Amino acid sequence: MILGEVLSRPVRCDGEDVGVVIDARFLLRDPDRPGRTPPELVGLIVGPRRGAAFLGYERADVVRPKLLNGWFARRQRGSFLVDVDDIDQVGETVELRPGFTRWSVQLPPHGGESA
Amino acid sequence: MKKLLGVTLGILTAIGGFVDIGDLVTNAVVGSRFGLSLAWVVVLGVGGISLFAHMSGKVTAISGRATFEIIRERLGPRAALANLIGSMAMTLLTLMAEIGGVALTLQLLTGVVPVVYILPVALVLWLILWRVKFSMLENVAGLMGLLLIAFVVALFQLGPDWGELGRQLVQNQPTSNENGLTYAFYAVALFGAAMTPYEVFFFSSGAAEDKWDSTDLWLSRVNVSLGFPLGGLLSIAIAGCAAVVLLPAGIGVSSLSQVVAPVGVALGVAGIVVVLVGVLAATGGAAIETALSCGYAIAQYAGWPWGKRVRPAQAPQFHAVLLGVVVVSCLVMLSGIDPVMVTEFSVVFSAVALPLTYFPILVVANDPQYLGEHTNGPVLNFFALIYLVIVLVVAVAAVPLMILTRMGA
Amino acid sequence: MPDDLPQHPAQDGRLLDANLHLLDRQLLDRDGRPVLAIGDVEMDRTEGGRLVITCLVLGSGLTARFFGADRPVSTRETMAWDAVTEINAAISTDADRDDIPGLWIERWWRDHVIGRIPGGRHDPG
Repeated sequence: MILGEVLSRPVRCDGEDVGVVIDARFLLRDPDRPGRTPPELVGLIVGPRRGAAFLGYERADVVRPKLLNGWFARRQRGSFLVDVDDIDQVGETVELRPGFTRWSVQLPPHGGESA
Repeated sequence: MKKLLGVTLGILTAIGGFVDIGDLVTNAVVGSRFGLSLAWVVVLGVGGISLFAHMSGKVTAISGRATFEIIRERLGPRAALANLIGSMAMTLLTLMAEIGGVALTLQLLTGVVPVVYILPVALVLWLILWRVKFSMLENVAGLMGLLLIAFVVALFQLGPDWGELGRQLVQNQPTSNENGLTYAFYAVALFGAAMTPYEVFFFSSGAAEDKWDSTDLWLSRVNVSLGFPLGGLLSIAIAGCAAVVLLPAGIGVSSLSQVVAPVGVALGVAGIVVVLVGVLAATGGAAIETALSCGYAIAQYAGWPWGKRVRPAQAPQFHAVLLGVVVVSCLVMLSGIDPVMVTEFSVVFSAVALPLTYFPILVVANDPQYLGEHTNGPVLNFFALIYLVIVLVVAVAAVPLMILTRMGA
Repeated sequence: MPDDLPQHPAQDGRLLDANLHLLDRQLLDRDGRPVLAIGDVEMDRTEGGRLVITCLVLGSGLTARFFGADRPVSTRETMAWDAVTEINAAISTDADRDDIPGLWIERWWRDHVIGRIPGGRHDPG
């Protein structure tokens, strides 16, 4: 499956619109040797609208300039992570299981990212 | 010594940005019609380009990532492509104009019709891009372009009424026979000319060509503090000379000979020859800068290897782009089109590219993943945000003003 | 900007958001030289049924994103995930440039145009 096909797809649950796929979160178990084990899909990140998510202000610890941060973070307020097991199927739309859990999109500060 | 000459990157960038053929003529036109009442725009532009060139140079020096890579990464391929098309259109038009400008200067020096020079100039340009070391380009073109200081010397030699000039500087308003819209159009054109995207592409990619790293940040600051204000000073001096000699006589500027005429009045034939050699170096330098910027932007957008510091065989598509843009420019200019008219159109495309270029640079300059501990401080962010707003206003106003004033007629 | 939602339990490792950290980033070869931009990410199921990233799709990804899935897999330039060595502002790999099939266009330009012009294979200056 190609990720690009899933991005920007509408996300629904029980016939209701929930949002739009703006990203996919993976877990890299061996951060020092990334090539060793392929990153596992943790879930999809669902946002209220497409676009502007590329800056990641709502997730990462890039907080400046404050004005831009505030504006873009507000646009994607209400974004959440949905676990892969809560996803019923991926097609023209992404269908979520009823009663799915909304997880935080916050990334840990500098989680292993070196400058 | 290497570090001392390291300021030539900033000087060459500024020369290609502030006193290329289009700006030379525009500054003289502005001086002959508005005196120095638009000089504040040049100062504003110097501030803006210094800020953003420094930020993009900083990002490239520390993260190793080039400006258009960052634009693609932050904006996504579609918006980045829109920027690329706008930037390329503008830069390519400027390259065409510079080749024409070199030919025009050679005409003034030798009396031979410009179209004869187009092919040889293009050939020499390509050979320089192919074989001459980046550092030599910077040093020779940058230092020879400094001969344009003849305009500053000429201004003093003309013994102008400094009180009158000072009054125009402060007035910030159109003179009696020009209307507000035309004033606004030239303000937008001057600002857009001072902050062209290709200056940023060239400065940051040049930083990589010169192998700057995190210990060279001071060098970036020196470069922008020296180069761009110098470019601004030359712009204002050109306008000043036109204001002193041409404005009172009601002489309009429509050709290169009128641009340099005041220097002749002040310093005689020797002055004209010196300034023409300076113009030759400046337009030649601008041709090199714009051609390289086309290569840098396209290669960085695609993710190809780029740069003059590697063998051409190691960056084949980058060199293919250089060859391509020189050939296309040469063919267009062989038609005998007026180079100055060409640059007037390029302002329109710059308007689209400006905000899409500066916005990602500002965002990345605050990203610790790229800059570690060297991210922007609050003061830098404050001014950068103000300039972003100005750039947006200019981008929106450029095309309507151009239409309403019929290109400032 | 912190939200009020609970933190997901998957914490033992480094979290990567594909769009934010991988897509549109520069891919580098083993010598640190630019290869191509990363256009997309390909996933597959492991034997255990988990979805994992198997390879990176190279190229600006424009065609894929404009025209969707219609382009056949075999014409896409890819880089297997196991070549990845570092994930920073750019993605480093241990790939040898001559072994990257996706660079056939670059090699064409080198062999048929740039390499043929005198001086093309020499060091600059």
